[in-house]
Amino acid sequence: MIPSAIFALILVLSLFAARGRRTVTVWLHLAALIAVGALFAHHVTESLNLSF
Amino acid sequence: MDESTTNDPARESGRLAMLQWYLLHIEVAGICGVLIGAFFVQFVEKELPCPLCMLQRMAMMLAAMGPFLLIGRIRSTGSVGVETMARAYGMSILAAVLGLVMSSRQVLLHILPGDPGYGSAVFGMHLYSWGVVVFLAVLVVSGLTMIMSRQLHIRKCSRPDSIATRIISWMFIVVIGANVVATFVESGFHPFLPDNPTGYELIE
Repeated sequence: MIPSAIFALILVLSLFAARGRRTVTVWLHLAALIAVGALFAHHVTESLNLSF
Repeated sequence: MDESTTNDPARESGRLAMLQWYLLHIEVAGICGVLIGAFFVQFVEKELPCPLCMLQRMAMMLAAMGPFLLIGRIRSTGSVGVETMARAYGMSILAAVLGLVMSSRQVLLHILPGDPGYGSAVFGMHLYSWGVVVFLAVLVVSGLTMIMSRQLHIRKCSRPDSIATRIISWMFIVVIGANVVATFVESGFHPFLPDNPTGYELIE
């Protein structure tokens, strides 16, 4: 569900970008990047059996 | 219609600006093509995407978002300044760096001699190897465009709105929407995708 939620966030972001809404798009893009980065970090720590 | 504006971005802003207008479309359409190719592998060749593949799809969409924002901005206001170009390509560069890290990790996972890799090869390379190529291309194009931003920014035109622009914009939005549905069907109500997916959790 988390990956599809991130795709849904990117979908909302694309709708703002299509309308040329610069500020909202930049902030949502940053939020999506953080979400994708966090999911990647989770994947890496899990596959390496790391725990913090 | 305002006499000082035209439908052609090149008329008011120069030939290089017209090149930029086409380049924006090529960037978005190119990444759409790669994502549609990934769908082809998923549904026609029946190879389910792993979590890293999905993360790379997300990064590709975010990398295309900079040019997509510029197209939307030019369509809505008729111009795009150097500052907006810097923001948009900054977005693309951040996403491309993240995507490059992710696809490089997947390449390294399968780099040992004798490892068959994940999934089948397309034109001689696995999809994650193509991911490295795509993200490097985004970085190179973004860097070159930012260097040339004084010549490439579109100063004034009257809201260009061609059929190609509409088709590419809708294609990008539809591809993202299709990924929302496909990923939900694959993961079901589990929080994360399995490392080695064997089926669509929601319907099996």
